Amino acid sequence: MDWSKAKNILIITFLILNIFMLGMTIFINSNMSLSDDYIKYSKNYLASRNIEIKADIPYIPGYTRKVLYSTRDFDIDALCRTVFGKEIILPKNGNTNDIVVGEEMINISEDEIHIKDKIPEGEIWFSDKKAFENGLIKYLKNIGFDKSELLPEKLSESESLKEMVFYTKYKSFRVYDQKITAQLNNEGFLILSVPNKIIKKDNGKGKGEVISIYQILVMGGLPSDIVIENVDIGYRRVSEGDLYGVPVWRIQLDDGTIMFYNGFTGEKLDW
Amino acid sequence: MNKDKRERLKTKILILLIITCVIQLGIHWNIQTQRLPFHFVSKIFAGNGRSTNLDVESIKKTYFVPETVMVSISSSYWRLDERDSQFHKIWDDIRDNYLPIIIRQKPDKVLPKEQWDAITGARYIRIDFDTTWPSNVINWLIESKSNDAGSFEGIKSIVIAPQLDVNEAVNTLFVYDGNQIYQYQVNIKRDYLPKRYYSNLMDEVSFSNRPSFRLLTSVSSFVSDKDIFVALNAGKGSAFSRINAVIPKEIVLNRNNLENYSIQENILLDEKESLSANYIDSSGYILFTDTENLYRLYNDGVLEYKYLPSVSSVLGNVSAAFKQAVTFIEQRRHLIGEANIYLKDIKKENNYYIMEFDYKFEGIPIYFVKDKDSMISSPIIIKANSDRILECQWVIRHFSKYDKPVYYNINFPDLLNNQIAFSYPEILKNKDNIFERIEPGYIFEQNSPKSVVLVPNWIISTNSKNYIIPLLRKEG
Repeated sequence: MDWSKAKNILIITFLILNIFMLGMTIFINSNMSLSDDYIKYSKNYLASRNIEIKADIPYIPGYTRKVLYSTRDFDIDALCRTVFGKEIILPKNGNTNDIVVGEEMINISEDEIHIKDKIPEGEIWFSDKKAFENGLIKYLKNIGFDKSELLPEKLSESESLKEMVFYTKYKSFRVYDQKITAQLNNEGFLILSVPNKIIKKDNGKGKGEVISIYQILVMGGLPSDIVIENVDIGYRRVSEGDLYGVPVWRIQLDDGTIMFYNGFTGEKLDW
Repeated sequence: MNKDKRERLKTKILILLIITCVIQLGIHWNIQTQRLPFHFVSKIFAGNGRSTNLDVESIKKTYFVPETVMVSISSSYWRLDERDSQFHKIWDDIRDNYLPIIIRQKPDKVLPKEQWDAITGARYIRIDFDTTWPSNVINWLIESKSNDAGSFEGIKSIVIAPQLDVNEAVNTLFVYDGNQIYQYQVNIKRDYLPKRYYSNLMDEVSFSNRPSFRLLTSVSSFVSDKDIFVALNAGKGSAFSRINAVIPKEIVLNRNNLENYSIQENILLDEKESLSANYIDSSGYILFTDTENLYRLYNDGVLEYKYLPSVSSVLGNVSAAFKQAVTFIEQRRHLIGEANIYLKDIKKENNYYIMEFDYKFEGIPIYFVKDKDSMISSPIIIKANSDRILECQWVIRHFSKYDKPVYYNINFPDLLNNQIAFSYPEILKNKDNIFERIEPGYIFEQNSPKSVVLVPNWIISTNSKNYIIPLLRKEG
């Protein structure tokens, strides 16, 4: 057999096949992406209704999957060590949802864990924003939240209270119903609520098409005369108790209003 | 040397082109996600095979099984059940050889149902079904090529009376559909069971050490609308195993089974990814739904299904509706373990059929009650038309043998004199009782523990109450 000739034939065949498939990919992608005309139309329509977009529109892949919410495995001993400074012997058949030691407590519910803890460095945290942030991240790590899964959302402060909010993330997207809220008062008490759920994987293999934000803005029934300050996409469950989360668009207005839209259906979410 | 270099370069280019070709294939299989096509290839082999490979045609006959085959000489009866080889031999012969013929041919005689007693007063073999099987379902089940659904509306009982015709090549059959009796003369062909098999069976069975039965109404003052047979000479008794009844571990309602998709794979099958799911630990159920389908699985192993759109279509052919029901069950049949499922009743409503299915274990009925004060009902109730399943309520349990079978006393006089008279005298006293069943069987409750061992009992049902009386071991 003449291998040299055979290779030539194979090279030509695979080259043609590659060029054909590349052409097909380009053709399909150009058909699938939202046309520039639609974006222009949307912007004109929004302008006509005095809706101003000050936000960057994020790029998202056209298709994505639902995600599965699992129950987060908390190490109760580690939790107790962090909050109470010691392990607590829990009754075998008793209620382990509420653990109270003095003024400190851990409350475990279906969706969240609430912690009240007197922080020894509370005064330092209260007076130094950076110390609060670093200390809180370390504290969260001790109870099972790695820094890499946290996305800071906001930090607010008053004379008697400092509050920091994080979202957990999945594949770089915020999970909007998995929020960590930490409040520190001037007496050094940390009130923390952390989510009891975690997204470990996508739900199966079937993908759904994510609706473009321009379609949401046009069809979503936004009021006139508003300024959109931020638009981003993440995950959320449509209803309380849902096992799966869907991609959702979050639209934030300059007056603080936040709206969520189901990325698969375009439906506005109330919950 | 130059040629060598050129060949090596060509090889590298060829490998590169093959790799890019594979990547591009992956892109095409999975638009927007640049990956290899193994995902697609694995999908082909990843199916659990339950729904995609289900061949209803091959298993449909397992539903078409008689409740009993009775051999009769005068007023004495001997019962053959699914554990007897003769049961299967006779039923296979009737189903495969006689039914395809009689469903096509006109009956030789049509008799009023009042003559049933006269027909069944001699030596014969009687096959009884739990329900009247509609003739066009039978047509589908026995794969009759004929479009004619037969002269009779359905089959409730069949009587084989070999002694009625002296010709060894002709056998006589009676079909009872609940309204009339249809008599057929069937020519026995070479691959049929010989006629003498039926003739000799009566002597063979009557001389064995089997319990012999009589009609309840002929040996007691008990009233019944049905033919209830009770053992008068219990012989060596009857063997029963104890059986385990548990909620299948794959569908026990907990987070773990939901998060590893065990419940979805076993209940939703191919729809496992398309339906949304809602579960709150304290609710006691998981809800799967989309715009058309709603599945609800409770923590007591009850599965509810509902087709959500309102149904305006006509009910269609009963055999197509039965096929829909059988398909729904068979796709999830692996959950029930060693038990069998059989049709208990089929009724026509305005635009759907209601089909009730019960469990049996080695031919012995496993009855179901919602709670201990409820009447016996069916653990599987399906509403379907010819197009689809409309509703289903299924109490799912996994049944397996707990221990070896032992012999129990099924002698009716012993039951009457030693157990009923002492423990339940009201059965004897209440003259308004109309008996629906007196027979050995198993029974389980909807709210029984997740795992329970079922023991054989006398199941006595009247028109107002169930009595569950333990079967006693056969002495000696």
